[in-house]
Amino acid sequence: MRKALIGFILLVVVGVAFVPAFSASKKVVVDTMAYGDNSNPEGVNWVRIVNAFEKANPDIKIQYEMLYDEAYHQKVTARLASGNVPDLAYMGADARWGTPWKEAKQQFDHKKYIDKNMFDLSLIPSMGPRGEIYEIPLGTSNLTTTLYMNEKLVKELGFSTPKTYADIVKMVPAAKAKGLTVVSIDGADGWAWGSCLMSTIVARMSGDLNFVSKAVAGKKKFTDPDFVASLAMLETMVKDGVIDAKSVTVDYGTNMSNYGNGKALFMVQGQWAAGSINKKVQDTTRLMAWPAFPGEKKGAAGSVAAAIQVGYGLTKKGGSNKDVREAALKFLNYFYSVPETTERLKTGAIVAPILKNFKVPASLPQVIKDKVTVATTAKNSDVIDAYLTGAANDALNSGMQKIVSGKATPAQIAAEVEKLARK
Amino acid sequence: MKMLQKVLNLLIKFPIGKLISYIVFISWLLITVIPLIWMMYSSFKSNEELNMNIYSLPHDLFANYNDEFYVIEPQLSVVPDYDYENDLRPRLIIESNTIDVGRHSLVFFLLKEKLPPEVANLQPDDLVYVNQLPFSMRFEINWKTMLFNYRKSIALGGLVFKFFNSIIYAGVSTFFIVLFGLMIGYALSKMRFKKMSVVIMGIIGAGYLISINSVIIPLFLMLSSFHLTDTHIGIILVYTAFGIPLAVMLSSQYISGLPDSLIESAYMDGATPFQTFFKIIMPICAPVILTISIVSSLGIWNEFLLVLIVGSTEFTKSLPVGVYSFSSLTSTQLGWQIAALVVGTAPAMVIYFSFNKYLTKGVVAGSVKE
Repeated sequence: MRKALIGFILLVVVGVAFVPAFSASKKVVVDTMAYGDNSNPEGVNWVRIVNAFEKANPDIKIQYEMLYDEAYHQKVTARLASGNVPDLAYMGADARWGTPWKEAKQQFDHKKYIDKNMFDLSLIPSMGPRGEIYEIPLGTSNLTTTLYMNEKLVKELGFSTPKTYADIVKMVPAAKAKGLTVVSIDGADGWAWGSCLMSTIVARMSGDLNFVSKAVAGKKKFTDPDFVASLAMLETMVKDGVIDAKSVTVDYGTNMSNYGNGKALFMVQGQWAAGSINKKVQDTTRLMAWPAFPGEKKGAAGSVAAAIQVGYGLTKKGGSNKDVREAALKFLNYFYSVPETTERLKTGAIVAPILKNFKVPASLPQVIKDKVTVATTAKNSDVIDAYLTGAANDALNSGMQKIVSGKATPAQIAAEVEKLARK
Repeated sequence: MKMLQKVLNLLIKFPIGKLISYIVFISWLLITVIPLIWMMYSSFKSNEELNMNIYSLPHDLFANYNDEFYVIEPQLSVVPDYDYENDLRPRLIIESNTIDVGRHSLVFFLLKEKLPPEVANLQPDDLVYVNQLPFSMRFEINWKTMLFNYRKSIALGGLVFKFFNSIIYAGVSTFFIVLFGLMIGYALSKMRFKKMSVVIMGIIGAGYLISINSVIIPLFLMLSSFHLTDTHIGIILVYTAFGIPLAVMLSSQYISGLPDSLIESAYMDGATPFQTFFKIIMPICAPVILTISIVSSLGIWNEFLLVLIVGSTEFTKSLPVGVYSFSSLTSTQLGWQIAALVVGTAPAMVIYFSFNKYLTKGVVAGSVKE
């Protein structure tokens, strides 16, 4: 009995150790770090696409590790530090999404290998000093500071689409009387303040679309009056009742739920949220750039903050192996194919496709059409966390929460960010 | 007045210390049991219900006899649950307008040939109610809706495969923990190198103070250098190493209480140290083996961080990682997550309640001198 038990255990150990090695030996394995989880469309669609691709290409195995949010970033850092580099990964070219790959010298220029008949290279921005393309973006630049408006609710209160911030302030008494939130924001998420709101306020108040990148480079200061005035705008919004001080307790899901259930006139979020809005409210939703702020300067009027869209790209390790590279590129062509891109456009995962001769389906919801309009008409400004990283960015994000809660002044936060940014 | 007298009499008969201890134990019982009861019934609630009222009883998934669905077009993100390559019969695709609206989660592919003409001819965006459908379809929709959370969590989370991985990790690691832990415990308590035993015991005791979480990064780097990340062996090795200290402490304490004459008799009868260990010591140590097994296997079964960090692919992920995969910053499927929690917790609860008395027996064994 004992011998049988020991034999069984050894068999299991040997089995789990060697069976995958034998079964995978005839296939080209593309070691991939995918972004998503089982609760969001990104993750669910990734699994579906990989299954379909592997069925159509039995000689290729997309061996993936799928993680989401901070868990993904931490694992990227850990894997790169240990030399366990994937062949293909979800990455970007900015500070948040590109730096780990850059520092590990794992960025791979796809320009030579990208299918020029399929992708419109003019829609893919340059990501390196010599016009390198380190990843294939899911779509055109990612709009992060869009404002969602429940047009039906606004009209019911007797108002129309606001042209200025003052127009929103006028809606406050009527909204409060009906128990509605005016502008809902997921203030519990520090990044939402920076990426989805402050990035546009800074550009508007300074009149400089690239104020943030210049400040990070030392050409401007975070203590400049324009930046302090931008932070002070948050105080004004709370004082005017446009944003609730309690919004620092609202998380992403609650924000989406509040707006989706018709409890808010407006919602602050990036363009990616358009496809996830409750179907009942989606049809009455309009997406727009923020109306003019009081004291904003002409140079950046009507602008929206936007960052180079993230996407999948080969690493240097994956790109240097011919078999893996070809298998990965074949998968990428499948992943970015017209039907899949159309699906992403429908679900709101991307702003606009980067494919050649792509025809936008006429049956898209209004909010998705608005998104394409804003993407093609509004000027683009810097997204804060695409340039500002680490402790300085953390201090800014938590600082904005403190300002909204009345626990810190704009000047204090600006000074702290400036100090940390120069370290 | 009589009532007050009765209460006073009861208090006198019932010592105050006993009363306090009952209050503490009943409170502890409630704190432990209520979350489990909540988890069980919440696994049958829709995400919307959980968001609206976290404590309410399940309703939406059960009261589905007149649920509203709308007809949708075939689309990539709606994966058919039948053999669509061979079965080309026309189908009406309907999506729930009540549960998880707009996420293509609760979708049915109804054979048009079995539908009444007024339903079969519906167009995308048209509404259809469950009670308009034939009985067999209604029945299928009813039970699939009731088990919606479990079906989605098991399918999307790959929980079946992860369940077997958890069994492999808990089973194999526990086997080695018991084997090596007992061997070391026997050697330290019964073999004649007392000074060395003190040193080894000290080192093993220090090992008990180190948790996997506190050394996760060096562990990851070390396993990477041996190409053992994302392998079952790498994970089992770590679990075994971290489980051995407790096993050694419990087993050495137990074995040291056994009479030396047992081992001396075996030696005089010509038994080798291994024969003595396997044929004399191990059978006597059954209570402590059971205790070590339960403590270790439950710990490994619930362990999350190591597999999350060291395991990369679905091939090595375990149940706790599967549970985590339903929650993220931008979207949380509470219903699916709670159903996955039930799947992950149920075996541990069964083991714990089945062997609870042996667990206590093994822990106190050796601490009482007869």
